[in-house]
Amino acid sequence: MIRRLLVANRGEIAVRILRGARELGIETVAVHSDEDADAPHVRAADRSVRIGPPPARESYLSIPAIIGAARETGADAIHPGYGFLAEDAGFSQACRDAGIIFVGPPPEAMRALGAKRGARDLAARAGLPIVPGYSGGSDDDARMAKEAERIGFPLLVKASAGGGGKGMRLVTRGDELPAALAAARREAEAAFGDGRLLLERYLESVRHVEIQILADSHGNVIHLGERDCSVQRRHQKIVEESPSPAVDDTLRARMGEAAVAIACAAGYRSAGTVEFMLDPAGHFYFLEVNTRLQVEHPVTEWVTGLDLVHLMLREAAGEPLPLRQEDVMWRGHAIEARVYAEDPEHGFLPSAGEILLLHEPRMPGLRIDSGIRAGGRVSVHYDPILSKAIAFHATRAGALARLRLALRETAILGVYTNLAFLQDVLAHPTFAAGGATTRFVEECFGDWQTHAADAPPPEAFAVAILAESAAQPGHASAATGAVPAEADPHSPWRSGR
Amino acid sequence: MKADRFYGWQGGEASVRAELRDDGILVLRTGDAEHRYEILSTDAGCVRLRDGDRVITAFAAARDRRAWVQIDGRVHVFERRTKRPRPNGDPANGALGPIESPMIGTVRKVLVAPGAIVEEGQGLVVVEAMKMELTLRAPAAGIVTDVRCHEGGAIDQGSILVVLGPVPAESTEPQ
Repeated sequence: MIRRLLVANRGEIAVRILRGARELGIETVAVHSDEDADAPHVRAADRSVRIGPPPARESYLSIPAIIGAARETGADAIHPGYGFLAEDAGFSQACRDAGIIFVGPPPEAMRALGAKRGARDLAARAGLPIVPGYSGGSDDDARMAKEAERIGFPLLVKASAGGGGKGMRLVTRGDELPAALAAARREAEAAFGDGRLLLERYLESVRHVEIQILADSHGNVIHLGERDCSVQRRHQKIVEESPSPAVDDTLRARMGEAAVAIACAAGYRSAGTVEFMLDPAGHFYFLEVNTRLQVEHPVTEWVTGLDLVHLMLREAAGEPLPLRQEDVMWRGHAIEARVYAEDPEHGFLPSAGEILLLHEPRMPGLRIDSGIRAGGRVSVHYDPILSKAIAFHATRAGALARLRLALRETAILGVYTNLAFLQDVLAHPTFAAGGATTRFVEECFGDWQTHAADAPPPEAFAVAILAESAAQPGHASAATGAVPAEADPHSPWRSGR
Repeated sequence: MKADRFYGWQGGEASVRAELRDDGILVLRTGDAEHRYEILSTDAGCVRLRDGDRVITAFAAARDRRAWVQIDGRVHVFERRTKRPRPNGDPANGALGPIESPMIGTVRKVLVAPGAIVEEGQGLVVVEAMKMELTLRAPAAGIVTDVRCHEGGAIDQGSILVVLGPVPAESTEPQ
């Protein structure tokens, strides 16, 4: 078994993995940038190592810094989480070269599947249905334009190395293509250090349904069923659930078999996700493979009763999978909502700042994977995900009601969040009916207005005045001209504190 | 003892007068309306008020001149103002003026130079935060009178990046 695990990540996923390791009796090491010296993931580990300044390139994306931290602390394994280096085959290779266990697939499988271009070709060879597109070798704009005409519009420009909607552009007309290619290339360069692109026909009215797979070094490959991640805002998943309202046992088995087929073809090991588009007629098309633990893995954990982090850690240590396909049982319904630091008043742009107040509710059937704390800072340097709320119930309606209540009772003050937006999305009749496609958010919330412009209820003023009065004088800044409450002649109820 | 506040929020602003009485009742006046709230508790950012037979549970925090209030799943952000914000300029050129960054981040690209004449919708500056790119565009046709940022520079929400002025008359004549 692994003796000491280094988690090469931050935020909620680092906290979740560190806890999973500790449950197995594995010692834990967190790494952090200067920005994160006192972050929750650092507090969740047995020890921590500073790996660099705030920019990710110089810290969480620095392979030498992370391998160095593992050597320094005697870690015999590294879990990359998601994002950062998680899908970097070079990192998996660097771990192998350093004699450190990489908790994830081998570099060969990552190279075969990690780039969307190669994955498309492999999927086609493994007999999976694929969407018309161009994943050839050329990045020449003129060639891309020619291929785009062949594929037809609307189409998607995607970063070959991409994920999470970064470096992705929807193009509806030919004359939009050059600008889309340039923007996607720039974004992909910045986010992944790889500006290669591919084109794919944009299918309307489809669901995003993905299959969780598990594979070990003994030749066993199984799937853990699907997650429906159709609720996306600008290609960014925001709500995920399992089972999918559109998938029955037969379809689940067929999609599962397809996912297992590509995993076998790629020589896959560890946990991974095969993403598909599912059309209203029940046809599915291969989209891509995520060679890592997914943000939305908790919904699968809840309906299968399995712990994916435990399974990954045991597999990485060379153990065979502890269960066969026929042992996988699904029960109940789980829905997850991702809480982002985004400012709905300004087009959902990332919001940064100090978290002044944090209240995360506790209730039966609710799991909150959180990477923030009151007094902590949300930095511009990293992804804006703050936490995830995952609700479980025997029925979908029960899980939905539970998640809605949980979000209503969640308070994150000091940065702007998408909490109000999530509540409105979950309250929509289309979602409640299980009818959301990937166009649901755009169609039903394209003109969504934040509630911030509504006239506040009068009690909000009362609470604001009380809060201002209670604010610590030390927090007031002379630079902004704020008057410390203690010195404020208009603040009559400070004297008693 | 009384407190007078002038609060602004996204969609409006209001004068609020509050009085905390010795019996723990907060009397609040906004406009012509008067409300009375019994303060039940104010622990750790959680404020509970009684309004008749209704109990209101809210979360609240304040920093500098901003108060954040959450009631029943909705967040209200109030800015304490001392005077009315400056009115919009000349209505004909109302959209021109300083172009502010809507987010904290870095400047990735500056697309215009001082003196450039820009069309409505033309890109001015590309800013980036958390790996997301945003192109700030001219809200109306105008001339770039000032560029106050540089590529790679750090910016705050509200930083003025570019200033636009009206296009001089001779430039707008038909060609």
